[in-house]
Amino acid sequence: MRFLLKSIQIEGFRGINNSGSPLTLDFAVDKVNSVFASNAQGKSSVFQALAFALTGNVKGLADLHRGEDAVSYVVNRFHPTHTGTVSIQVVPDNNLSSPLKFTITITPDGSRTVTGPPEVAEPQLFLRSLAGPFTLLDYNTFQRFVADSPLDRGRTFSGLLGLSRLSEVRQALDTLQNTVTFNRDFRISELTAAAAAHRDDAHRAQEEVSRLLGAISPTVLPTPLTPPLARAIATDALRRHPELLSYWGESPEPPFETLKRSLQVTEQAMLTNEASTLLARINQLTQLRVAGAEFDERRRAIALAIQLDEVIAVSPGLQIRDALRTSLAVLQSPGWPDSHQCPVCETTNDRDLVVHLQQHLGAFQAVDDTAALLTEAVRLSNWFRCFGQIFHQRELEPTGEERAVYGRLSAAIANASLRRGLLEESLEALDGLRERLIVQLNALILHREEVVARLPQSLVALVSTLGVGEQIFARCVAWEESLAQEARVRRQLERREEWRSFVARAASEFADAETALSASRISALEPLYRDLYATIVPGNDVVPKLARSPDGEDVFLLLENFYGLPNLKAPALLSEAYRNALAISLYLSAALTTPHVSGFMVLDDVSSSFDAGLQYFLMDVFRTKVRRGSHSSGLQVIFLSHDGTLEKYFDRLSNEGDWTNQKLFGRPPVGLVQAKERDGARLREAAVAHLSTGDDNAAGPIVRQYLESAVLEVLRRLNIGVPVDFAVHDSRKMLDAGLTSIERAVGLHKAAGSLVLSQLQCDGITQVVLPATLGNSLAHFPTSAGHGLSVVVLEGAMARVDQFLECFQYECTCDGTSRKRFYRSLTARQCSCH
Amino acid sequence: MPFRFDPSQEIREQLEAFAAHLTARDPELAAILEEALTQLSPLPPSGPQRNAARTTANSTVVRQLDGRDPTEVRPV
Repeated sequence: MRFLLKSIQIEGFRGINNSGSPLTLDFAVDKVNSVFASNAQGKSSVFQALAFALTGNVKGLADLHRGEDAVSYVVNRFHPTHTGTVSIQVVPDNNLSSPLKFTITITPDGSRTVTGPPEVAEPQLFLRSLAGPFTLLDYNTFQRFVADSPLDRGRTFSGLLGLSRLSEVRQALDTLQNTVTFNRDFRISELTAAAAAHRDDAHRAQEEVSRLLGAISPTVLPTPLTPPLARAIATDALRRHPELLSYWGESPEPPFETLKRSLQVTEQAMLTNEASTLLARINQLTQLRVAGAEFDERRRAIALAIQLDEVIAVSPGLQIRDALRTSLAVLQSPGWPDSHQCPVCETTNDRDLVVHLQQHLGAFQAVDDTAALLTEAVRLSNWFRCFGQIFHQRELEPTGEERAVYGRLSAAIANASLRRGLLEESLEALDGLRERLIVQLNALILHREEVVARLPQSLVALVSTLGVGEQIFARCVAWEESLAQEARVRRQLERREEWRSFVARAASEFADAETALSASRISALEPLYRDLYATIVPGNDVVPKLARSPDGEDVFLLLENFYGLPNLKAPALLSEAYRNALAISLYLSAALTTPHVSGFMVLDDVSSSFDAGLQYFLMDVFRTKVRRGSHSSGLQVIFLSHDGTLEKYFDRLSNEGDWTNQKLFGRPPVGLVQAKERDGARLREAAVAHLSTGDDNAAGPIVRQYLESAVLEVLRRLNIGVPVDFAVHDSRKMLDAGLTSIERAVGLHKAAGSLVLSQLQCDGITQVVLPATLGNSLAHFPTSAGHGLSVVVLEGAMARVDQFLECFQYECTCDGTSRKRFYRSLTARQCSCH
Repeated sequence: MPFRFDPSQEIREQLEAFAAHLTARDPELAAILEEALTQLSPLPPSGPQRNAARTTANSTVVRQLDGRDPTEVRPV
């Protein structure tokens, strides 16, 4: 079901004051509705009011600089209650007798309220649904369509074809499959580094286990060696000692605590315990020595720190970054009133500063990424782990400075602010600690050797073997844990890769399907838009073609034939008027074939670039090919124009059954703006009504319209010729030209002796009416505003207009009664009676 | 056969058909994708706003891929 526009009422909105007497425009649903207004007579306000009613936006104001305070100019500045009100009535096209009325109000602070009929639950949403891609069109719409990039044009055209949701999903899929940000958003580098670190940990544990196994077992180690195999080999090695077997029990794995307790009951228990403790301590400290992989870790960290220095050097600087981050935090805090207000200087800006700062912070992306890599490289390194553990070794007695360095390093890793200087300082402190570690380790080894020397060798060997076995089992646990961690992280990476493939394939399939559908729809439109274009621009050896890119959303405006040349680009070849004609043809073809909620189309001065010929052809297209009733899916057309040439055309067409014309006149933005169909009798009736109440403000413009109406009626009825530029003069000159044409034609026929008018009428025209009308009325109507005349003067003007009309009429008694009839021309009556 | 929209269907039906097509391939990832697309609707204008929306949607995707609460600090 579609909805048509039945009427609009406007008060206190933009240039239309109309306090207490809203400007009302009624629209016919099956006719072309034209609305003419001279400049500054309220036409743009009508278009803006419609846009505001449907979308909440005011065309022309939305793009103004924030400092222009546009929102406070929506309400008419002269309206006494400072409230703008727009009411519209729409009717469903299947039940034209049930209009739905919506009223939208706005106050100078921009507060907008919408009320609607009870049967519409969400009036705002309903009104917005009426604002389809064809509802509100102006000159810029078509100009932009041609000038846009092929991609933007393609997306616009998808909207015209009702496929905008598909285009949006296509763009959303493209957004999700963006590979540039995939690594960052999905932490790929971080996870890859973590997996490598876990793999290194497992490798170190495996090497340690291999070394320990070699100390207690002669077995050649299998390849690959796994934790279960290592435990089995260690168990087998321990079970070869009969002293241990007697305490072993049924446990499949060595019961280390039981075995240790059994050895402690021997007479050398104390010494054995000491040797065992020393061995464990030696093994602990041994793990804190420099490991082979550590050199690579150090080199990588230093390289990343150098790289970080380089990217910082080419960035605007970390102080700037920190200032931007601080400002952003302030702007995003709940207490900050307006994201357009600068937190530093407190000035209010046109742009949203959150977006602005986020854009600037984008310049630091390389810095942040490199800093994150450096932080992760250090955090996951073996040397950093050793650095932390080494403080707990009481024998090493870390100095206060070494503790401070470690503290700064930990803090820098926590907030990703590590730089090269601190990194090198930390490595130097660690090296110092390790030098003392080696000294301490050597002392412990020497001490143990002294203790062991006092024990029987068999017992020493047994205690040592048991200790090594226990270490093997402990290291196997760490090994398995590292393997499990690596597997978990690698699974995370695999899932991310699966996602990437899934989204990429989905995006590709969707894009192909959307392209195919859109291309077929565009192809189906071809006969229609070609016919419309040929009608607007007849006799032109040009055949347009709309072509959709096979692998994107681009839409190209081509010329299949340009005076015999094939496949050329239309925007580069066609004149502005022809480009607009092509754009209008494409819009109309889409509008006539695509169902939308809105069944009406409002066009504001869309033919500005057209000459008179093209304008007439365009009007004919609306009347015969687009108008609801002329086409199975035709639209209600509302055409706004200030073009003087079109005004005459509107005037002539309004006598046809498929066209209705209204004209705006009045005193915007202060006084009343009214709309009247060009009908002299109705104008006179309205003027008399206002004069009878003493309302000279309201009557003035209508008297002016009555005068115009009278002049045009005489010209039309008596077929009096006018200058060729008559239509393109502005309103005042047009009236002047009309009266001058009449005066000259009367003089000419009088001189030739062919004038049919009576002497009294002739004298009235040449000596009384025209001088009075030209001298008084026109002098007081330098523009169409017509203000400043009293009721008495206006009544006099009305009387002269009546007298003017009577000068071109005669008494006809052909049918037996007496009635006034206009002469057929200045030389003949309509009939033969005298 | 490549996936194609049925021109006789309404947009809603066409999108449902595509969702069913993806679900048949991988129900879990299809559900995650549907939620991500919901987060991107209405699609912000390209530039910083759309980038921010993508980051938010991707964080939801990561959370669902990892099967964890987004507020949890994940060990890596």
